[in-house]
Amino acid sequence: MNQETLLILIQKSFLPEPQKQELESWLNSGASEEQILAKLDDYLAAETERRGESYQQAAAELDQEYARTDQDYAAAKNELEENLTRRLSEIPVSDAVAKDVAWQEYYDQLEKLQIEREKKVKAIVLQQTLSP
Amino acid sequence: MPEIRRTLENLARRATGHGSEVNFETDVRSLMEKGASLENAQREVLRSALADLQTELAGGRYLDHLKSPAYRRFQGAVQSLFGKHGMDQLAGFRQWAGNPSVFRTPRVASPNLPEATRHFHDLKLGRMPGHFILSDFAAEREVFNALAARLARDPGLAAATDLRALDPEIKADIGRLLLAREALRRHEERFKADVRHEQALDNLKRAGKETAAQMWAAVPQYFRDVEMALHGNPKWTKRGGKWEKATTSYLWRLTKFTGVTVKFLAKESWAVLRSTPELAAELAALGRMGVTYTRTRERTF
Repeated sequence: MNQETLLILIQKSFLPEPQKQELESWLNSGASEEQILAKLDDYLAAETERRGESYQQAAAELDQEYARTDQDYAAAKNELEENLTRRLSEIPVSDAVAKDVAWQEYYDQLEKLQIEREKKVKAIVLQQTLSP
Repeated sequence: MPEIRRTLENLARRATGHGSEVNFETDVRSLMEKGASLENAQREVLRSALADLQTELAGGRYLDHLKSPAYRRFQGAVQSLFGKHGMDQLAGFRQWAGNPSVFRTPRVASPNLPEATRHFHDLKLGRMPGHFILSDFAAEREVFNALAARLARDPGLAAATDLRALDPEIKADIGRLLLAREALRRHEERFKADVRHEQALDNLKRAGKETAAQMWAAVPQYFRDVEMALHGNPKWTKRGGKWEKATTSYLWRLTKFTGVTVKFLAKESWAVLRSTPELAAELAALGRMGVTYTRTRERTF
């Protein structure tokens, strides 16, 4: 393998810049092909593992955030339902207007809750996109 | 000229969702042309709509009344007579429906939960609303059916010479019927909105996961390039029953690349990838790295 090929292998790799520079300086200093490939292989293995861990960590954090948002939503929704049930039980069966108002308010509050939940999840996704 | 003006007005009303009112007024005019008085024509068209609603409900169209043509006729009549373009009394009708001294609570059948469940099941949204919503839906449907039946056979309505002078009890029944129908519609519309909300969230969550996976995209691509350099660019390859076009690799162009050294390079690194099958599976699911790629790798090394 010629030097140019080795250089492309290093430059086009997904290694961090300092490691690429280190390998390039080895290459320029006349290190053997075997030595450089062995070192490159070590670095690739380590970086692959690191990225795997980072990804798994990021995915786990996302799952946690999603679960927390879902839990908060479920709790708030449950509270809304309990309030509605309590309110309906206090309304006389014959008072259809009061019942109608109670349901309408329940659905309005639920809609607000859902808008809030969507905003939170969007913020989590945005944060994930912006994080290095 | 007045005829043209009315036609244009009716067209505009149809375009703004008041077509059922226009239909009612057309039916009334048609009866008047046959000699009926305005009051009698209005009453008969209203009663005819109620009778049709009864026929629909009795004919097993119990679940379809949300889309019922007969209900639309009834609604058109009520809106035209008592709505904003008529006597503007519907808000008062609804208030009377909540007044126990005016509204006669109807005798209703027990709420039919299986029928309500079937109604939501037939929407084919893959989910069901909560039990308390199903219960209210079933209960309101019984109220709707009972009031539609009571109004259809109400002697006060049958004998009314002027609909403006209807008994408050009848107006309360109309108000309650409208409330029941609005409750049914609201439950259904809100349930659909709930499903849309969950779907939107699922999409957002998936987008977040894909963003997290992007940091991995460079890894399989690099090894894919190495493999293509080793074994050539397949151009078009059939994998898993599908034809795939491979991208041209920058390494493919390197003619002096020797198989031995790259095999050494790739073998060690890919062993690491192979040691994280969960990750490979996740990436495969996200479409970042094809499953066929994993298979090829195992076959080659």
